[in-house]
Amino acid sequence: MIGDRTKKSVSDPVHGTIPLNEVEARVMQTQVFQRLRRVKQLGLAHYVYPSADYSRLAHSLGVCHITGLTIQSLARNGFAESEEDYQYYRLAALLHDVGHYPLSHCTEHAVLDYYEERRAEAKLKKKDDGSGPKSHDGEELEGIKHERVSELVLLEDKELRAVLESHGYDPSKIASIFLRQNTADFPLSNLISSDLDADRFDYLLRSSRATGLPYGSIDFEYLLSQLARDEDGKVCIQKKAMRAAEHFLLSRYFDYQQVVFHKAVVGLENITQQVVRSMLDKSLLNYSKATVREAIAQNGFRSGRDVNCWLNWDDDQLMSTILDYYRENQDTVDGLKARCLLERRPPKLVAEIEMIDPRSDGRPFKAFQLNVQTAFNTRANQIGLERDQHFSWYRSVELTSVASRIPATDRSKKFEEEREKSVRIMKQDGRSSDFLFNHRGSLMSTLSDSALYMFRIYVVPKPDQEVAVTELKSQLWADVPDAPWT
Amino acid sequence: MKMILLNVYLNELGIQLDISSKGKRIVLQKVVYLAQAAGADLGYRYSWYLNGPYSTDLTRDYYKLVDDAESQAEAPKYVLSDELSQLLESIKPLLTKPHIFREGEDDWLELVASLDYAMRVLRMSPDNAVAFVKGEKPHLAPYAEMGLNALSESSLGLASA
Repeated sequence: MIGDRTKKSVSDPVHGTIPLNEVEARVMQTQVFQRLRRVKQLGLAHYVYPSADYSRLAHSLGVCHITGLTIQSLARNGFAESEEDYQYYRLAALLHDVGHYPLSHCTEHAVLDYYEERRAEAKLKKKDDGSGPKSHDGEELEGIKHERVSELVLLEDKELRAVLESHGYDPSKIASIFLRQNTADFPLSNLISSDLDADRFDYLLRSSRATGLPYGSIDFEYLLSQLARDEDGKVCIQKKAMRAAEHFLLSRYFDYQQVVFHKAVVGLENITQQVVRSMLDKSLLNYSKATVREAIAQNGFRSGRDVNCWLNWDDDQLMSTILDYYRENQDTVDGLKARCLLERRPPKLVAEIEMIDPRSDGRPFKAFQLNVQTAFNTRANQIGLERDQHFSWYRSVELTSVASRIPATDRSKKFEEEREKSVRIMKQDGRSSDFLFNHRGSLMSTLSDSALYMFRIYVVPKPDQEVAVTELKSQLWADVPDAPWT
Repeated sequence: MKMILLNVYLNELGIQLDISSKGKRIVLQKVVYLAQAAGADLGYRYSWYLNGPYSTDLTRDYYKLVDDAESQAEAPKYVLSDELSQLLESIKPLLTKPHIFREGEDDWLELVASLDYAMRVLRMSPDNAVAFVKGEKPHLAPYAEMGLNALSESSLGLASA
């Protein structure tokens, strides 16, 4: 039986006991991995669900565990991997999040937005006035996703490298699995990144446990037991597990609505992102690729709150930096936003519309959105709101989605390459498989044509605007009575 | 600004915002891959999918760009920095398929982008990259050496390493 050499057992509220072998136990002990204890998996969700403050470390152990179970299940069903590849997959799962920024995706979005804009400014010049780029391009202007930071950690952190190499594992190969760079050598990379992967399984089970919401009641063990590979080597599930797979996808959808898209979580995270962008702009923070690389290469803790030390980059350091920023900017809108975060006072939600409509045509909703925004702009002028005191938020969410952004079920085939990541069902012939959403008996085949459209406007009022802003909501309802208000 | 940059960049490379067929989307994906490999980096990072190097973020952005009337209206007011323009210019010869290549433009770009990816990202030797591409893409196997030669003569330079 592959993976049978337990060195250490970790007690876990979701999985009971997580066995780790020697290399995994040593990886867990490295400082870059221990840093994940200080980075929350769910960003600011614990501002709404007080117990949802578990760490990336716990989640990473869970993903490693589920990846192992998945490969073992495939082996039991006749699709064995080598012991070495099994270990590579588990290490990739264990380390896939080692490069997460403080507050996880909340900060990551701000970092990517900020540097993408700076980068674009550096590469363009205006035709008419001949003005050149504002700055030179380079890694100083590049913001990178957490997976790429994870790759940098694997390549640059001496302690982690030494542990992996002493056991005969190549750090760059591990990174290539979670970056999906080498699916020829590691065809099961989808187990770590796809619609039905270890990452999403652990997320849902753990999030449900921590928030108290019921969406983790999925048939996890049955799903694992029904895994197979088709004649092309693609991972799929037996048809009899189709309902369990659909239940999982729907549970994920509801969890996202209740946790990730919760009105207060969205409001607070957006405010945090705005504050982080301001601090990046004022060089109070620096998360460029060049700085990240340099910070990782420090290889160890630095004194105090050294902003250029990777191990110091955790949630507490970021919140502390925001607190300093607030102290020095109390009379500004940025200060107001920082205070919202520090005192857990979400911005006021003054407008919220949503509707489920055909996914291929978002125009009806866009029209409502435009009307609500126009009505709001008029009212905002009347009560003297400054431009940076309000923000809008829009999402269209496919009921079945791949990688959170790309619809798995796009019948226009726009995203056909990424459909490799969607759930597949073994056909009757027992050799070939097809997408779940192509199965006519699947609920997903119907739901896949629809999307939930959501639009919100939030305001950060000054003290003397509180009353006027509170009244905005009912005024906007009256201004646009036919909008699909929630 | 980011969308304006993508728009101007694609214009400079002669890529229309027509993504109605898979072939056209492959052309766009691979042209941006090769231009970035030449140093004209927009920050798109690629993974390996059925048709070779592929960027989820680029897919997301070009669909956004197609719907973004404001960026399309603003784009003509801008040009690329001189450095970026020169880098794009340097890669253009590689983007044109040779006369003796009997398949489509998308196939040519898939071939050279896949070979470059095998050497640059997977760190294969030129010989191993050719063998890899032949195994992964049997329909392009007869042209693998031709693709490698084109790469070695291009500004990318990895093929002769």
